[in-house]
Amino acid sequence: MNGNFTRWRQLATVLALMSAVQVSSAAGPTDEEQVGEAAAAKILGAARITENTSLQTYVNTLGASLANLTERPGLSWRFAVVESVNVNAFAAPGGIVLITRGLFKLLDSEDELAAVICHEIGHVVGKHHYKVILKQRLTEDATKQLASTQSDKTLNDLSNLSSVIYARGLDKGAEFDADLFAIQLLAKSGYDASALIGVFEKLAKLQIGDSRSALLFSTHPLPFDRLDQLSRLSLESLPPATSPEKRKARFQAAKASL
Amino acid sequence: MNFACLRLLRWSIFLLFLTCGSSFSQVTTKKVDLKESASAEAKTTSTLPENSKVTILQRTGFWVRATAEKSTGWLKVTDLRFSSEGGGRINLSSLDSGRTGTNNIVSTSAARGLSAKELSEATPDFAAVRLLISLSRNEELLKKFRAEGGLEIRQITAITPSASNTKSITPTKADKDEW
Repeated sequence: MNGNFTRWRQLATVLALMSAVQVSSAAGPTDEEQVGEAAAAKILGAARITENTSLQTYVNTLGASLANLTERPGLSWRFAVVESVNVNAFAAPGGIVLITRGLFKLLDSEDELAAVICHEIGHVVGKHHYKVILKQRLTEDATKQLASTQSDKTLNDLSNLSSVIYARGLDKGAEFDADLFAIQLLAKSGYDASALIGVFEKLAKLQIGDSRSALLFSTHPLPFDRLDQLSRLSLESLPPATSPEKRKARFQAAKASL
Repeated sequence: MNFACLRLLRWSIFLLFLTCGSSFSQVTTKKVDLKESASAEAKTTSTLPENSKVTILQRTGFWVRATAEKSTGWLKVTDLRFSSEGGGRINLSSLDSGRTGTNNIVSTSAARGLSAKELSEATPDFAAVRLLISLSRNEELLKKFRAEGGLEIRQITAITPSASNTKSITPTKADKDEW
């Protein structure tokens, strides 16, 4: 009888643990994902997601196929094109990546598009924005003697905090880390790793005084500085792209639909 | 003076150089062999000393075809310095830009392009975020996407900067293409 009781107790313990796992899985997004959603909400408040479903599917699928190859494939990775003529790409904590129509139009190949997305994925994987927002939030909470809550007011405050940080800028070490990450993910996934240089070339040709790139010029790292950082790397061992001609048509179709 | 004003000042100074008709070049970071074609195995046509000024004519992958005084040939883009720091000037050929300067503060996200004013004044749209999150992820579709795009997963050696304040990024473990 004692043996049966022990077995029942063991079974009850296992069932309780399984329930606990289910509860925590159903508890909702992580803090990182919540921060990211708040940040993305601010961007999407300024520029809506494209209604071009084929374009959106293309970008989301491309992004997801790259994110799957990172050390954080389990995040809620979502990729979208937003309707803005400005040149812009956005990485929110937790896996939301947004690219503007304006930036997409600059690009000449799926490999260049992948380069932009890989760079933004690098920010997410490295938690670059999350760490800064977290630190700032803790500082503000301590100042206001607040505790973290789930209230709508807090989420709106988080959105506003995020946008201030994005407009102010971060340390360029994170940018260079994201470039290094992009180079490697591009090569790993079969894309042309040098496509990142192609993106730098496009950005470098943007005209001063054009309002579509005004914020880019005031907060973006210099393409030449980023190129110089690449100069410190040994890139000879990177394999060439696989079959780039096979993805040319679908990229051209996507770009033509802009 | 805030960073935005500093950047504007640097741009203005650089534009002044442009209007004076100065020519600009990239600079080699070390002694470099100019090659007949874009390959390390190609025949060497000439050798340039460190700090040689070159003008870029075209780019293929990580190789550029450039000219330096009487020599023309291919070299790796990573053997060149592009920023103006250290005396190098900016080539306005295939990698032209109007920018110089080494301001440390940059945005790593997308507050680059959407105007600062629009971003600051926007009302957060959480409904749009929920809609985005609701997009499903179809693993079969991803597999098909890769196959149709001719994309093959490769194992690569982690790249570590030789002298940099950036952290190396460890790639994931060797992946088998399970798709």
